[in-house]
Amino acid sequence: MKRFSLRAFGPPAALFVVTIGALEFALRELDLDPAHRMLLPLPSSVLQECWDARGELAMRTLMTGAAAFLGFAASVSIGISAAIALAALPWARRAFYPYMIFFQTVPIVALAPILVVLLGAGLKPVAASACIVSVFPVIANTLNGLLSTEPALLDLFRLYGASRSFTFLRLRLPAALPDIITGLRVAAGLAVIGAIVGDFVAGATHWTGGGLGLSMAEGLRLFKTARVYASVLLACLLGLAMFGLVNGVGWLLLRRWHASQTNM
Amino acid sequence: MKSATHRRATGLVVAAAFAAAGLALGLGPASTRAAAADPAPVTLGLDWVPEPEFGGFYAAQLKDLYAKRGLAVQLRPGGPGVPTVQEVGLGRLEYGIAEATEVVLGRAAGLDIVGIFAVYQTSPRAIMARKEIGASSLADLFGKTASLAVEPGSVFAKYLQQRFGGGKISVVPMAGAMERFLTEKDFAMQAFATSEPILARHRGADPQVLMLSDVGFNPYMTVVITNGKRWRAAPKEVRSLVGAVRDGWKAYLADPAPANEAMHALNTAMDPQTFADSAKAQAPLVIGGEGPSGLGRMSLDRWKTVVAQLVELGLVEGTKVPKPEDCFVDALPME
Repeated sequence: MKRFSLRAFGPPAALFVVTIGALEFALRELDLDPAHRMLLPLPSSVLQECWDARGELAMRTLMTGAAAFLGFAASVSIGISAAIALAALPWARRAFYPYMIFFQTVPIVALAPILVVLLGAGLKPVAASACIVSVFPVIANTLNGLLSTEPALLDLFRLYGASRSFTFLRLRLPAALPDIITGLRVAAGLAVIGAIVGDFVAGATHWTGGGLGLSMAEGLRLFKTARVYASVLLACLLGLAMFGLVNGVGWLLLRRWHASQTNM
Repeated sequence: MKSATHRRATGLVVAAAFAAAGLALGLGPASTRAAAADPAPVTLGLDWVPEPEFGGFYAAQLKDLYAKRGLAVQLRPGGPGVPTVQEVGLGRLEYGIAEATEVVLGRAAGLDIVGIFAVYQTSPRAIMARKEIGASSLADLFGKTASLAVEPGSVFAKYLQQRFGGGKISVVPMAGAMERFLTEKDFAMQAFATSEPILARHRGADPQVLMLSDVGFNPYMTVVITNGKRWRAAPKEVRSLVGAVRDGWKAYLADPAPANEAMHALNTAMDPQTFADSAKAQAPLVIGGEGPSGLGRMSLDRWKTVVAQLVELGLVEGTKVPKPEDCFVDALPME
């Protein structure tokens, strides 16, 4: 498959290695005083920290990943259902859409404590936080896709006497898939962000629990900046993994017929 | 109409008059100027919003104690997450406030910071518990089936976990903790003895306050810190500041009202009654065993304990463990 070839992965991987290598060299050459060294740890120190604390970091990545995935799954189901409802009912669309935009702009940092009070501690408020942050792109893109069906094709279906539900299942929904997948791509990364912010506030349900957000907070408090950067790195990798997952699903669903997949 | 000669003469006389006035005012050559030049402004960065724990610093400002010792000190209020330790370590902030544990952790991370004055001889850190839980002590509390709201990553929480962590108590996040404390019968939360219990009592509760200092965790709190370089380069300035701060705290302990008023203007979220109650509650924690003469003093033994505890908790290790004697200086003025 061309997608997973060296041609696809080679250049970004090479760029990463070169950039990190240059940074390592530059930081070593600069001979920073200890205070500034603390702010800008060597990339090798960050990787060392990833290895030294691999058990704990793995567990925390798993926790954040689980919360992000659950939140993402929730925002996909809620988002697509809501968009279908809004597409079918124009009056509902006019009434609810502005509130959805408003709801999306409320900063999650302010909402997270309320979520903890409402849902208790642990995975639930963190997943809810991930869902809230990622649901709007799903709704917006799905709605756009459902409302952008080619009029000529709609006429064709009507000419053949197709029912509303048949038209929906066989024309509107499949035609909207590319837009839906785009929405999911955006939502995947946002779900990780939402999980990390939720983690800062929701904390843990026992002494050693919590995800990458807590790991970052602890690293800041203990002046272990390598730990902070390591947590950030793992969060990015998590985001990449979610993004890759969505891309894979998109490829599976669209590979036979859509230009975005066939023209790879 | 005056002649050109006359105008020139008038000009010379006026210029001479100005020069004389200038010399009189000290604008002449440096040697004629008075010895005291305007002091360079320094900033003392607080690590939280203005509250009674900083009362002495504001009292010193109100009584001009800094100026009397030749200092131009600006107090900078802080808040959550203000990085005073890093700012002082990087030399961007002349003086800051930190906890003793932060000084040790900062030094372990490579920052050259030193403690110069400790406000609290006894740490105000406590666990505030509902009396319905029926705990007789902190050790007893951890064996009960109850909820405890703490920030798990903080140093004192790790200490509690290490000492009592195997118990039945379940840890919950801090979000909404105060409301839960007021409504749930089996709830406990981290607190400062000078803050949350007072707020709880104002709202009709009768909390049990279990001090961490009673179970061996008693690092100096609200410690004034400066950069080691600054101490070595300008010890006189540091001693002057510490002298002013100590006199300010003496004044605040004698009469907290004026400084409370000044701080309330900067922190309207806390009402004047709470300011007064909190100032009263903190007085015994500020004054050490030596009485008012012990104000601000720090001992090597206690810094050794802090370092040892952090090593035992695994938060500093190996070659990075700072020497306790490097963490603080005796900067009280030579009087």
